[in-house]
Amino acid sequence: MKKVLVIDDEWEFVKDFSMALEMFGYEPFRAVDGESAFNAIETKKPDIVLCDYKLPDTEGDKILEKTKKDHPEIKFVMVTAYYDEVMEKRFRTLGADEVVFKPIVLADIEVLLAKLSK
Amino acid sequence: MLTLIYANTTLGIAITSFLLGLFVLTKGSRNRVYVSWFLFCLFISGWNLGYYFTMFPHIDKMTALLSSRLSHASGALIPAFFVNFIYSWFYPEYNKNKKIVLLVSFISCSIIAFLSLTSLVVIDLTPKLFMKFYPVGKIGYLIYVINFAWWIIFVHSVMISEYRNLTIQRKNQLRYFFLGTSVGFLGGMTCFPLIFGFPFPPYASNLIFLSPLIITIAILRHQLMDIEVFIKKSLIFAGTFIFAFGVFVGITLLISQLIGGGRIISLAISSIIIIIGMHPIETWLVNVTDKFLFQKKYEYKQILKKFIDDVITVLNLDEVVNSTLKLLDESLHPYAASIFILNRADDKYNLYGSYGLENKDIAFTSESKLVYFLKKTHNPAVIKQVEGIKGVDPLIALEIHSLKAVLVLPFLLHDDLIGFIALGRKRSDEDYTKDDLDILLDLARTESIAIGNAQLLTEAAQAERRAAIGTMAAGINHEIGNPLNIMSTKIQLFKMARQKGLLRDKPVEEALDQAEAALDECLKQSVRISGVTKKLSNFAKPSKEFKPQLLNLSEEIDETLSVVGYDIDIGKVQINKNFTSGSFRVLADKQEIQQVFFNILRNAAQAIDGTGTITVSILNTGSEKVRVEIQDTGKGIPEDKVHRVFEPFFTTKGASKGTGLGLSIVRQLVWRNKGEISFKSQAGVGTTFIVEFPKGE
Repeated sequence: MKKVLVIDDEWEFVKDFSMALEMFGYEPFRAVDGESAFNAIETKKPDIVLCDYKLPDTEGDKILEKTKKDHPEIKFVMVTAYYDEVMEKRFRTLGADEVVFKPIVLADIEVLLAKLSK
Repeated sequence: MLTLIYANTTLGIAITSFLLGLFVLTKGSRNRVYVSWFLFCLFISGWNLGYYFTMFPHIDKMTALLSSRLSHASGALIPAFFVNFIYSWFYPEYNKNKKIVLLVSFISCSIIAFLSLTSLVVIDLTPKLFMKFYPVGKIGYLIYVINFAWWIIFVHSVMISEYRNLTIQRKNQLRYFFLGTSVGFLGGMTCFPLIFGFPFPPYASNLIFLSPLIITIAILRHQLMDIEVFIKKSLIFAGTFIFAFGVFVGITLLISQLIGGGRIISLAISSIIIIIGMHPIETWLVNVTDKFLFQKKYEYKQILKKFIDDVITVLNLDEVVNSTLKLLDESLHPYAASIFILNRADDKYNLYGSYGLENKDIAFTSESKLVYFLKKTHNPAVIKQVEGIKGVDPLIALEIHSLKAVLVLPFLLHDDLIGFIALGRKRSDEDYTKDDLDILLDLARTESIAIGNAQLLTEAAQAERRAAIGTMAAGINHEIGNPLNIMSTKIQLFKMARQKGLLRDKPVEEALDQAEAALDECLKQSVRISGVTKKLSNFAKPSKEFKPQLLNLSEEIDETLSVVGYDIDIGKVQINKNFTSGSFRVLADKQEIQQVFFNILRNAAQAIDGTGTITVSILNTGSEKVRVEIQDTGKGIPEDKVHRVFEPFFTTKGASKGTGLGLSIVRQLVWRNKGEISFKSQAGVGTTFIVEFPKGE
């Protein structure tokens, strides 16, 4: 079972999203800020990271950069509420495998995760 | 001698009243206020003229009696015309009651006037005191006096009762007018006792002379009926007349003393002196009257020069335009003035501000001949130099007339015509002199720079606003996007569970509970979104009505603290008040001030994790400012975030607390109340916000 780390400070969302991930057949982990995210990446060694851009103590791109540097094999999906072409390009150059915009569509996520798990 | 003085005074009053009335009439013979004023003056004049002839020392008794009766007939009509004038001044239209009052006054006064021509009022003339002839009256005369007094009292009571409904300027006019007429009539009434045999000399009737004088002051100081020109011209006329007459009489006397006769020689000499002396005397009189009676006008150059120095620092276009119009109105007194400014978007010169113009919907395109003239010549367009002049397009003059102007000055910036100012005829009826034009050109040059600067600033502010909207859009996406995301995920999850058959084996009650929980959460999130939109609309327009008032900052902070208290965990956060004694009065909007401190105090409380203190200090710094310091022992603002603190939607608080709109609004509000806001912060130690407002009073 592939391990997926969800990083988002909206607890209600993280809870539901984790349930959906379970239904899709993944093992979800949760982190609510930068600090707990780095911790989880090191200890849980997820296969895929779904990371919200705006976090209370940091921004998603910092986590992306560090993750790709330390663990290039981890697939990284950036999630953001704010559509901005320039930002999207920046995430991709930093190594994001996908960029997803809120509100998310669970069916799309299922397809996306399946693709990334291959 | 006394008789002569008395007689001459009445003649003086007769002439002044007549001229005063006549001048007003020439200002507008169709204006019913002016017409009724003229009639009122005319009958006062007639009354006094009749008296003059009665008093005149060398007159025979028959003529004196006729004069006296004519004088009384004229005097009898004064109250009716007084009612007429005051009514026309107060009321644009008469209702039935007013028409009746007016009619009754005219009927009663006309009857008395008719009787005055007979021997019923003035029975005879006898010598009284120092006067050769003075009217003798009995019951007829008593009726005359009662009618007179009744109407005069009536009109003054109308003035008193209508006083409070007037505008300030009209109130000022009325105060003087009231004083003038009441002194005049009280003085006039002193003529009556002697008639009935009381040995009370009519000296006070000379007070009638004060009447035109006081009304003249009203005219000069409060533009009553706009007749300052008349005063000035008559003073100058009187001065030059006295000069010519004096020279002629003096020289004739001198020469007849020296050589006896010699009228031709004296005429020749005095003519030469008068011709040589007339112009300098006239100029001198113009200057003297300007200086003493029209002091404001005399000082206008200084005022304009100071304004030119000041206006350059004003960066608000409305303020530049409005203060200029106000200044011109007060210094040069043109009847009308208007300022046009180029709108680059449609290449039109739009009316930006004006007074004295009825039509406010005027704009000039570059097709306009006036605009073309200003652009081409870079010179002012003066009506006298463009109207009826060969080779000058007559449309220019027409356009200038349409602005009720006689002079149009261009605003030029880097050779571009960015606007122009049109000035009407001066109230003093004088032309614009070379001096005026020089100083006005200076004003126009400075004004051009001020307008250019103000426009640049507006553009910069708009650019900043656009940038702020960009930042806001990002914030809005986050603030609204997240709750939406939660709602949407919940709904999808429920549907997905149903599709996958996960709900099939559960009891209905449990499935319903799940659905209800999801709906409850959606409801909660929708409330969160509406909270954001509410704050947003506050941000977009932070003002309701902006009402600055004198506030004591210590009271406002106390009040705010009591509100913030609900939000602060008193057990953990201690609040210290450090108010030095003294008054901390500022001129500011109460609600906005409280909003400012509410936000800062709540931020301070939220910055404290665990236990800590907030210290609020108020101090008077120097003599001009009141300073408030709000210090917390919270986590501080990280150094790399310090410069973003006032950005809309910037927050260090995390998703659950605050949208980040607070401080950007706080700064807007502080600025609006003429204050300054700054802060010091050290990560891990705390933050101090410093707000300063200029002292009130």
